[in-house]
Amino acid sequence: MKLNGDLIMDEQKEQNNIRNKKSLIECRGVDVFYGDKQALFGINLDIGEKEVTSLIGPSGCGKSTFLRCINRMNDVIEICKVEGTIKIDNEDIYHPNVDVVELRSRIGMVFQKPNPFPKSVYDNVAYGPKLHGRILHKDDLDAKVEKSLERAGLWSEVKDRLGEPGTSLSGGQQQRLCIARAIAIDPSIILMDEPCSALDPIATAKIEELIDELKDNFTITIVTHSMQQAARVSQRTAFFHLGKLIEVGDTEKIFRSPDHEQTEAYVTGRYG
Amino acid sequence: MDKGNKMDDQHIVTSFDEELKDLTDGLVSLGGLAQIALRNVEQSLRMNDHDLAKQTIEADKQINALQLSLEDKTFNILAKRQPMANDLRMVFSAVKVSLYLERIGDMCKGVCKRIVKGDLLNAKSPKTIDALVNLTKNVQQSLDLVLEDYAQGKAQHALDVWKSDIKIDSSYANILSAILEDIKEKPEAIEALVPLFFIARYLERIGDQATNIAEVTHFIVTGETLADDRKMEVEDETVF
Amino acid sequence: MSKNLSKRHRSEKRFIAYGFISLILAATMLATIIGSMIYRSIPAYTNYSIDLEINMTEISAEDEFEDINFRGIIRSSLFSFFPEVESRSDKRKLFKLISSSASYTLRDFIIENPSYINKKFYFNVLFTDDSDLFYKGYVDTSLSESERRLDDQEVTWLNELKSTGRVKNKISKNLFLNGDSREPEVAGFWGATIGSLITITVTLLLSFPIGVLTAIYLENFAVKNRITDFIEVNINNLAAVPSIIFGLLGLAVFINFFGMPRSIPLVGGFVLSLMTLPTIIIATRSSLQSIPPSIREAALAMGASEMQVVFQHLLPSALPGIFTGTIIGLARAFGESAPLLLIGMVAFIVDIPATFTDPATALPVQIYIWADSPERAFVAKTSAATLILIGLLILINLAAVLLRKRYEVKW
Repeated sequence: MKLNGDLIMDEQKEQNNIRNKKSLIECRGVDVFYGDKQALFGINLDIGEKEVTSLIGPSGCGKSTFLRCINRMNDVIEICKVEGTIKIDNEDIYHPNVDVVELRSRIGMVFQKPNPFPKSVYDNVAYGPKLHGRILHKDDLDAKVEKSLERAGLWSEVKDRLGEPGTSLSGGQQQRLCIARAIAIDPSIILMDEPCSALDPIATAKIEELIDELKDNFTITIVTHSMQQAARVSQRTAFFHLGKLIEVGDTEKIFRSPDHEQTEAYVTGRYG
Repeated sequence: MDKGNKMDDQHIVTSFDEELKDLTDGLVSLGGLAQIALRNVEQSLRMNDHDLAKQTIEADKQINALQLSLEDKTFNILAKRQPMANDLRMVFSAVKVSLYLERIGDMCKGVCKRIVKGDLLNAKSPKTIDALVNLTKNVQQSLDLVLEDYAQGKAQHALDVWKSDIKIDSSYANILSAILEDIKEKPEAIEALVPLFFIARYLERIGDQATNIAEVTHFIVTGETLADDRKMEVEDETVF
Repeated sequence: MSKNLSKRHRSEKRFIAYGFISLILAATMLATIIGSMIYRSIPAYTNYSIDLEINMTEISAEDEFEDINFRGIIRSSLFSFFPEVESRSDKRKLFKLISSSASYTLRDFIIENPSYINKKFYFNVLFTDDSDLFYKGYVDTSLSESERRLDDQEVTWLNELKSTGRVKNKISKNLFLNGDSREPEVAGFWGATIGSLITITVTLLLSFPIGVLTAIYLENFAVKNRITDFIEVNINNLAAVPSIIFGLLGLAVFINFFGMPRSIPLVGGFVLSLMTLPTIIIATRSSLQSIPPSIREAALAMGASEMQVVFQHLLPSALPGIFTGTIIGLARAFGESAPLLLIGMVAFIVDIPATFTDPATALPVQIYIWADSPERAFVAKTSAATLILIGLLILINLAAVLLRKRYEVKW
């Protein structure tokens, strides 16, 4: 008997074959529990390399929980238990031999509310490379910081203010600083949890533009409450509902004519 | 979750539902006006009723006005609501449907103009007139079916409409041949016969619009545009 | 509606007025207390003394230093003012008018300045506390002789001495530089102050690292179960335990069980750090908790280990709160006397302590001892010492404010 999860897997495989896109992250049968309460049910999802995948769904549907499984940030929560397999580049990241700290050094994360460290702009961006001992010489570090800030579209605005605290920037700038901080460690994956929900429309647009540029070099997974944003920014969209993955497919399809009634009800605003 | 007719499911923001309903009702009214115009054409043809024809010509203004207002409504919904999925398909298609219906109105006006300008009786081809009336009836049927489908959000009559269109096209082809014959036999009646060509052409075009509406309805319901090979195009086997 | 509005405004104005009145009351009381203390301490700041003519010309270079009778030299100098005094008891009475430390002061002076050894010179010696108080006007001559410390004869002598013009009133160096003494005119609080400072240093060195690291452990690393909850409840309770209990604990554990010497700042520091630890732990924990969790999340997501998160991110941001808590705890410890009494720092210590293991006393304890002493002169000294203690506490709290400002981080 084919379960919903299997069907979704078949769909994905078919879609992936057509797209000819390599899956960087492969999730099979992911269940997540907070104590006795189950938050995710048998998630089977592939995330393609160097493209933007958006996770949409009503509040509490588990999309943020799922996102945090990818870089094992859920380990921080005592009562949270993750079962199933998540493979990044064919490595099971929940294997006992995996060093969580090392894993996280390959994955960047941007949060809903911009959270730059209470350090200078420079130190914020330099923190990652210094922490992991990747760059030792000051000149190299300077270059890295400049490059990261440039990629994040922030360099011209802060190049004369590198010594000022990160918190003295505007909201949108702070978020781009957080993105610069994340990409400074040259991750292969960037996870974004509602990165624009605290920002005004112009800052949001700048970040969307940034995501567009970054996708050529990074695999980006973004959780968003705004369907319009998901439609604008991502190539693949996954719809979650009450902890289950209902549908995943090309973004255009999800927003033009989704297969599942629930998906359609959500994206048209008939249910939330 | 209520699994009723998809179009009936409530949006969380009720004013969105009201706007959509407004649009749908408007389109249904427009369809109704088109149906009335077509019925008037049938009667005018049958009775050579110049007065009715003139009324129909005048009534076309209403059709045009309604179409413009529906276009406006659609524009506003797109700007305000950013509709998605089936809402998007429906709203986007509303413009096309309204245009098709408006064209039907224009075609009807065209037929009526021909009726009023000349005198059908002068053509001395009662059989052709009959054929034209029949053609009108077939087209009416098609239009009724597609509008029923559209109003209900279903694409169930598509096959019937398709078959009907074949009949329409062959009727059209026959009528053309008959008129040609008449012209050859009675060249002096050419001034009265030529308008019949136009009338036939208009009617055939109305049939085409109905088919277009059926394709649009299919897109709204399934989300798929018909591939070229599946399009309801019927061979033009006319003489010219 | 407007009636309700004006009622609200009125009650608000009343509240503000009550608050203001309370402030005024509090300020007045504070001013009164400090004012009266300052007034009472005035006599302590100066000492009356007399320039005596010291004649050491009869000492020859061959005489042994230890044989020099400094006491006799001073006696003869004093008696020269009153040649008519002849009986031994009278002479003793006369000699008692000046401080018993006089001969020692002269001796110390000669040791430092040996060239004076066979010279004639003027030397300044202190009066005893009774004489000093008389000159300051605290002896009521209208009372009968048995009701006052100085009898008529002594009063006459003092007046005569005054009229010679050799009597001086100087700022009391002793008060500020000496250790404790039986003689009020010689007693000073410097010994106690140094004792307090050393004790507090020990307290700081012990309680700060242990407290901060404990709090970090409990907050970030300990497994959250019933045991750690139990510990947390107990730490909170410990902060409210009366300080004398810690003294008892110190007595039982450090002195009886470990056999450490009594009355040394090291043990005092141990006891006070036990008392200060809960305060520091609670302050550190609350500072750590007040850091937005987003910082921790951001650091973890960047691949920092738990230790790095704590030491590179949380601790620096928590410093203002930690400093404040520490200094508040230390200020409290600085003013504690009960626990120190129990571990024996109530001893009579004359020498200024120099190391952690020299016998010492603490300023609050010194105040207690002096307050308990019968001599009238100690009243003024007690007030003076109290003012010094308050002054030091204010300084410590000021340090808290400054440190906090320096390390404040804006979110």
